[in-house]
Amino acid sequence: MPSAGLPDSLADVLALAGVIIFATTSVAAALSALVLRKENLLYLATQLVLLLLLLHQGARWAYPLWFADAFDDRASYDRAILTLLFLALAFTADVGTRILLWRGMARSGRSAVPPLLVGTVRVLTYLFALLIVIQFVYGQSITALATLSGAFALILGLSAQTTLGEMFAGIAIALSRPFRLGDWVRVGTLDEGRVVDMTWRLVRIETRDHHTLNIPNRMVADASVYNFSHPRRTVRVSETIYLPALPEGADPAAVEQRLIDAVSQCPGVLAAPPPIAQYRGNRSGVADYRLRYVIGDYRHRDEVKDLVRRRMAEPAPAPAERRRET
Amino acid sequence: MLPPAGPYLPLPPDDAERRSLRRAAGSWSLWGLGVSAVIAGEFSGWSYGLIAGGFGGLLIATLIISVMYLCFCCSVAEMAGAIPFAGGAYAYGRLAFGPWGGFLAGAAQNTEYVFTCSVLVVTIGDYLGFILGHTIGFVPPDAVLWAAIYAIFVLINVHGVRLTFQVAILLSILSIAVLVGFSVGAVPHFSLAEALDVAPKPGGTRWLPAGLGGIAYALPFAIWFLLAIEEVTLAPEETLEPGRALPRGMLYAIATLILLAFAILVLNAGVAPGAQAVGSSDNPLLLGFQGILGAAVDPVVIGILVLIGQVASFHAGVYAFGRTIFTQARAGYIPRALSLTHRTRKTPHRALIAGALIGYGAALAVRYAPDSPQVDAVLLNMSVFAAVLSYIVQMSAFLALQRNYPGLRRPYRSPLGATGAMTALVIAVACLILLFANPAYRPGLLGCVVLLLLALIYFGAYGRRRLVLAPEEAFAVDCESLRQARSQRQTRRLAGGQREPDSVAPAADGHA
Repeated sequence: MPSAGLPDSLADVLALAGVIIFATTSVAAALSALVLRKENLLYLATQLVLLLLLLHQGARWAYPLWFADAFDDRASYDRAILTLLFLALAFTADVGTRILLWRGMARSGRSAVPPLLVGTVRVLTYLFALLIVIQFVYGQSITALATLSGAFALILGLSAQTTLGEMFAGIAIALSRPFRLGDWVRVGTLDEGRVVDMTWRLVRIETRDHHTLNIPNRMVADASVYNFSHPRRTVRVSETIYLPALPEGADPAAVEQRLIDAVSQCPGVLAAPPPIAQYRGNRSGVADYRLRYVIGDYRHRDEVKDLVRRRMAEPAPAPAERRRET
Repeated sequence: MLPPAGPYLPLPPDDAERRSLRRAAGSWSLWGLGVSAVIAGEFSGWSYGLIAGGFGGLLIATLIISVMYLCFCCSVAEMAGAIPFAGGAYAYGRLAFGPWGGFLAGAAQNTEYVFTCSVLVVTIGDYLGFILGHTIGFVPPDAVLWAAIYAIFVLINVHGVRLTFQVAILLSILSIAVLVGFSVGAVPHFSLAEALDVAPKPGGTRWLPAGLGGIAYALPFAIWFLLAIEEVTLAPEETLEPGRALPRGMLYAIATLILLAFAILVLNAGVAPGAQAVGSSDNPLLLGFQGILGAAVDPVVIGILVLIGQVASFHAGVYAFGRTIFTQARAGYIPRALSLTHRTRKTPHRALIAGALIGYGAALAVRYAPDSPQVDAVLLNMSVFAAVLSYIVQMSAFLALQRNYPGLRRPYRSPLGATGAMTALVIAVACLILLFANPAYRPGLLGCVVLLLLALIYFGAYGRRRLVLAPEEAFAVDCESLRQARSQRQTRRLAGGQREPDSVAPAADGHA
């Protein structure tokens, strides 16, 4: 006489193998976390989900074989396993969100996710699992509870509309990655500066005058953003320089060469590609020159320009007027 | 408390050159070595599990053992890339648990490979005797036949590592061809009723005739399907890019073997004469061939086909005991004279000859002892027990290295991480307990324990004072020094309120 519940088909035998294997891997995941003092929750959670899923699928043989003493009847066993399964799923989602989303965001350069957001998502995850268990496992209506939750969410959403808008804009920026920490940027028509912080509400920029400019995420998301550090940190600078007009018939090449020499000697200016100076004619009594050169890092732009101006000023009259164009 | 090993004895200047190996293997060579090492277990040995647990029980046991070996292979592949020396388990045990741990792991490996070969040579001799008797009508005495078999494969191994790997690949392909040929031929003859024909015990079912306990008793037999895959980890010093080729070769091999194992389990049990007869047979594949081809086929031909798998594993076993004796001798754990390599061929000829002589002696004991069948089983079970013991040491070493040397450079990282190693460890410990639980295995276990105890006494009394800074030792000493220095710096900085960044242990390049 076969003992009650012993698997007797290929599907049941494979499910039994799965139960043994996932029970072993669950124990192993817990033991390795203990031995190495390393968090291993996501692995453990997925193993538990698979184990419970197989115990639910194999209830026909698993209940009489192992759980007949622990539960009054098969229905109680089914309910208990399903409840554990949904809670394990919620646990997996909770741990997965924490490890893959929040920590992933932090790794991508954002500051830590606000504890309020983490807590809210966490509570909603378990609440959702609990509602499913109440409705589908225990057959109790959750309409009133769901309505109350919906109303509560609506009130919360309306009152935190601005903050939520900033938060979603922050997520959009994190995904599209128009800049990273340390990049030199100009947002819209605002002053340019270096990105020093990106939070869930704003982007913080340190300007050349060492002022801090706090720009809300929504404004950053809507504006056009110049990034001077991406895709390369090298930047080509182009500027127009006005010098005293050349005498009639004089060759501008000598002045062009002086400009190139001056700019080449400035620290921070790259030798390749070489600087270019171009005479564009006399205008209103001054000679118009276009100067182009490449610098290694955008933050040195002002220093380089200043040095060029100084060098040009030393042997010859100072530039009459200067306008920059980058 | 065990007495400390050392201090290390000085080395002559040309020592490394006189004890070095030659690099020749790529991923496919290692695949060949892995497949040939294991494949005899797919031909025979596993079938007793059908009686112990029935078809369903052995199927579940094989799934569990496959998980264990997958986890094990990923973990040792990571260690073999990080510690690329020919010592295998000895090298990992040495870094993780010191010289005593290294010696125990190495001694277990030596036991496994030497005794597996001595049992295999007896089997091969029997087949050859049968074939020769039916073809030329003359069967040489067993002692002569075995000596010839040992001599041929030791000579191949001494000739050069390139030839060794080429022969391993050839034998693997031939063995796979036999198994695939059998599987293809068996498909039309498959019947589930044949696979489920083991009579259920009281409380059992057709799928699980011995109940849940049958699964546990079938586990040691399921090990046969994949036993000895770890021989691949002895090849890093003969591999061109060990960090890349070794994990790849090992994982290709285990994937191939797992597929073949399930095909053979299902199809060999599912053709005439059925699981009951196959489970009682020493030679299940022979029965399977007869079941699908009928009695008309010349038994000599089938004998030759079945012989190929045994020869493949014997060849890989000779390679394995050569390397494991060589590395332990090179470091002074056993007499150093055994570690000299051939002047021009750079193969460990002395270690190969020593291992062959011990194995040959054990084989003679198998055949000529008063109660020979029992000695045979004892040697076989000793090698299984030693293998499981070495798995336990290696997986414990993996966890210890994760904990103590997180900064060790690892060219390959196991996708299953510490959890994979712990899974393999848990299943290996369960197998060890089940081996103890089975009275048939106890003499083998006792023999293995006695042998390892004798080895430990030798090491404690003599060997531990003869150690030298061989590559494995030098690497372990460097890592330990770095770890101690880091620990001291951390203590100082923590006292000063500063944080210490993770330091990285030296990368091993396979040489001292």
